[in-house]
Amino acid sequence: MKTKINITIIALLALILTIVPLAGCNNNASEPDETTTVVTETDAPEPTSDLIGEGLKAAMLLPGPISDIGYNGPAYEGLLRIESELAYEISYAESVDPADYENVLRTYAQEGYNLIFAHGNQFLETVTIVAEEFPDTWFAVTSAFTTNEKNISGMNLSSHDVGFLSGALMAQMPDVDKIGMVSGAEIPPLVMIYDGLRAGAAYINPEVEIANVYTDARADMAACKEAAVALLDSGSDILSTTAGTGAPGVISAAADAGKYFVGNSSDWSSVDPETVLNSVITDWGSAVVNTATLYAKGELQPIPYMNGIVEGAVYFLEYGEHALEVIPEEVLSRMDTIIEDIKAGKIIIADEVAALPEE
Amino acid sequence: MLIELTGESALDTYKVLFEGAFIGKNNLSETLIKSSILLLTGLSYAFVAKVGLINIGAEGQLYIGAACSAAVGIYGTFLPGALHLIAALLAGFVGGMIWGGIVGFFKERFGANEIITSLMMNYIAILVVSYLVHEPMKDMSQTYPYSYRVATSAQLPRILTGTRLHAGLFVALLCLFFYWIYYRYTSSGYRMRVIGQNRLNAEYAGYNVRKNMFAAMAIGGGFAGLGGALEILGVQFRLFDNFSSGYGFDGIFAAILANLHPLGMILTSVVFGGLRNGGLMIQVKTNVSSTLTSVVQSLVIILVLMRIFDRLPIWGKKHSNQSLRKRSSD
Amino acid sequence: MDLVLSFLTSVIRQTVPILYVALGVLVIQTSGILEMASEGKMLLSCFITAIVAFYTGSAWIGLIVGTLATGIIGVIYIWLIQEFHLNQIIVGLSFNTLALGITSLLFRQKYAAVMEMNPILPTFEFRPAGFSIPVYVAFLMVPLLSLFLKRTTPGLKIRSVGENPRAVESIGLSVKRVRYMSGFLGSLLIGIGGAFFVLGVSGIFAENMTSGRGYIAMTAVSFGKFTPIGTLASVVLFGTGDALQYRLQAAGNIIPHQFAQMVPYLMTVIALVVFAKNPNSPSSLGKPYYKSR
Repeated sequence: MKTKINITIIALLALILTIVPLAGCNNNASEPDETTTVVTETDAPEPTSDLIGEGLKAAMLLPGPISDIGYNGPAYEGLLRIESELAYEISYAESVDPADYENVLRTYAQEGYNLIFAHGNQFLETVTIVAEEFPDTWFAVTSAFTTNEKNISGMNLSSHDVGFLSGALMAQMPDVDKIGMVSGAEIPPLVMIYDGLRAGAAYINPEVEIANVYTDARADMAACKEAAVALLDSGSDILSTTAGTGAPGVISAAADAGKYFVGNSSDWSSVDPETVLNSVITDWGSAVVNTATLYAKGELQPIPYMNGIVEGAVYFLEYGEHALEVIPEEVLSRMDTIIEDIKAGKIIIADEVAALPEE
Repeated sequence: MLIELTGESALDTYKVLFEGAFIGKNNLSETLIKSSILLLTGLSYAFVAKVGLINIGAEGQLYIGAACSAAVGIYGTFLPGALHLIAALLAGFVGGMIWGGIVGFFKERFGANEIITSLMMNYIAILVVSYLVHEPMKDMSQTYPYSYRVATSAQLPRILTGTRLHAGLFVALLCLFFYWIYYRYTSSGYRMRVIGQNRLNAEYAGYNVRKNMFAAMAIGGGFAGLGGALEILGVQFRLFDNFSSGYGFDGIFAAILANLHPLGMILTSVVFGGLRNGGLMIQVKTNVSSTLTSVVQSLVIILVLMRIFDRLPIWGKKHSNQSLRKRSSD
Repeated sequence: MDLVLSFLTSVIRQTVPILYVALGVLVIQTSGILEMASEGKMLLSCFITAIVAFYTGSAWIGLIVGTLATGIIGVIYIWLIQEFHLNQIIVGLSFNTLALGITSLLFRQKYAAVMEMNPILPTFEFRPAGFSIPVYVAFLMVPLLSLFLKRTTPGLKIRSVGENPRAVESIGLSVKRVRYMSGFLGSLLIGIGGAFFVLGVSGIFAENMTSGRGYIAMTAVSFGKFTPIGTLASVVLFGTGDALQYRLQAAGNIIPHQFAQMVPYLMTVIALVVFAKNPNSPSSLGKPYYKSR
């Protein structure tokens, strides 16, 4: 019996040996692919960027897959941009398990990475511990509103702003009495978008009702579509979602019912330009590039950086042709006023959110 | 040819995997931390498999065990010293036991298919934990939905300075030892084995099959719950959404690959723990994408299952080998 | 009335792809193979169908190619199990991880960039009474499959192989051949399920898009006591639970959303406890078969 098992184990180890070469081979084959697309993307706008990141190494920890839409994906693209535009040497770990946060952070720090991005508030506690041990390494934590004031920066995009803009637009559309929201998960950034949406809608019309549905781990298109249909059945007149990759399902449900959709995180209009009124863009990529640029210049401070509408990191896209046809003129001009007011400090979104009634 | 073309990078990748898994104090400790939990979830499968049932609910039992031990770890601060830790560990065991016991009870009383119920109970457990960390147990000082931190008196002591390796390793080994003794030397363990081998025979012999099945499910669940306790009291110190990432299922792999044999389970758990940690290090230190790592890992498992190495030297002996192995493992 | 109709449509939309997969699993399980790989097969079918439909612009070509490819994959899978006597649980679960890894890898490196430009795949154009043809076929499949398994020779062969392979061997039939056949037919059905899921339900491909539906289908089969009608009933039950939980949430904050989300799982457990007195599974299910000498 014992020998049998040993054979299995030896086989296992031997097989790892034989198979990993395959892995290496695939990797090599694919790498040129990735770099070429990056080069073509970035060539056009900034052909002569100064390579201030030369000799610096940046790493990124992502809680989800780099291929998602709106959160991990854009951050990863930002990482690729600091490689091509600033000449950082980069590495990343995607879908990192909570149990491994400490291990991965420490390994990156030991490997001599100068700037480590941890994309999510859930990393903050562990980063704070590891940052003590590596005072020469700089950490940038997403959605961190407090730091250790030594070598951690907070890299924040205001989720409240995102929600506020979409809520304000949705509540102004004709015949909207109830807004339906498909939430991806009950985690701070998404809850904050939802709160911002409530505040934005309440700013326009306190009478507007808002219904919210959480999808579970299966937050995919099919599940989100069912959630959206349930919202429409309960009387929602317009939809939004924070479920990332599930958004096309919500859009398709809205389209089937002849209702409209306001998106966030990414440009959703290509999915269905007749249903998607507009999308609020959260530019994580630029946030990453800005942080890396500041670091390379030696100007990065250990404070929470906040990027929102005022800083130009959260914004509506240009309205599409079809959207311009269906959105009334006065709504468009009021939206412009609202955005100007926010930028001028006449509307403080945080106060609007704080004034919301408990749910 | 392939190796020659890409030899260097491939070899490096392999080196990173192996080093990430086993070389260096830190890597080895990380591997062992993972292995001890895999060992426990594996035990929860193995213990139940011996009576002929299939328990794929280790993941859910682990979640509930974690929740219970976190609750004791956070709120049981009135307990003195080591008693607090022991109580927290026990709570994990009891939590898993209840969750496994429910499945066992449905099987015993209603004949409900344990594969399906245990699978469904996984989903339910994950949602229960999600509710707990969002509402009753949420630490209000945190933005992210975490429970409060487990009190220091309930945290497992680190056994190797400079690493996260904690005393949970001994807990896991102790459980394995119990499993080995129980099925090898005790009469009730013998009864359970008989039931697993042939239910009809066992009934003729007058054994209470259903009661034994229930007991096995409960104890198996307890092991997985203890795994959850280790994760909370030794590594995470807080309870939160989706903290486990499939320990339950990997543990089952490890148990089956080892044919439920205690020593084999140590080896497979360590290998699987190593694969997890080494795979992580591949991501961290090279540019190989994680999807590729998962492809490679599953290919490895399938190929090992195919037992190519057994087949190569003695082609014809396959059948006798197989049946022999089945016997001896039982 | 509208609400009821919308609820039913919701249930049907959820049900059809899972029903196909479940019926496929049923055919394979009936021949005594423990089919754990349906999740991976479904995902592979989604992927192949999406690529083919995207490049040909035809939903039907996508469906046919995706289905046939899944059938072939099914045969290879049966070959693995039969020739190497693998543990069917582990190889199934690993196969699913493998399928997830391969589809994600290929999608990321080759197709994601292209398909982002125009993510919506072609759909089935002809829709009498609001549903496309595969929806009707799915429900028609249930009685047809019932007849096939009970009344036709190949169906009987599949069943007897599942019940008592040794007896089948003794009257001179090849157990392996029958299992290859059931593996192929079943995988075809799983293939249709995946193809319809990507084209008819989601209309877009995404990583891990099946997210557990293959397992739900598998559950539905044993839950439906290994009959097509029972399988249909349990798939519909789960679909109802899911449609119900979203409506519970949309109605307002009555209960914490986690408890609403538990509804489909709780319904399954309860139904199992109430109905599952005699699990009617094929006797040789999951046991590797060794040809007698």
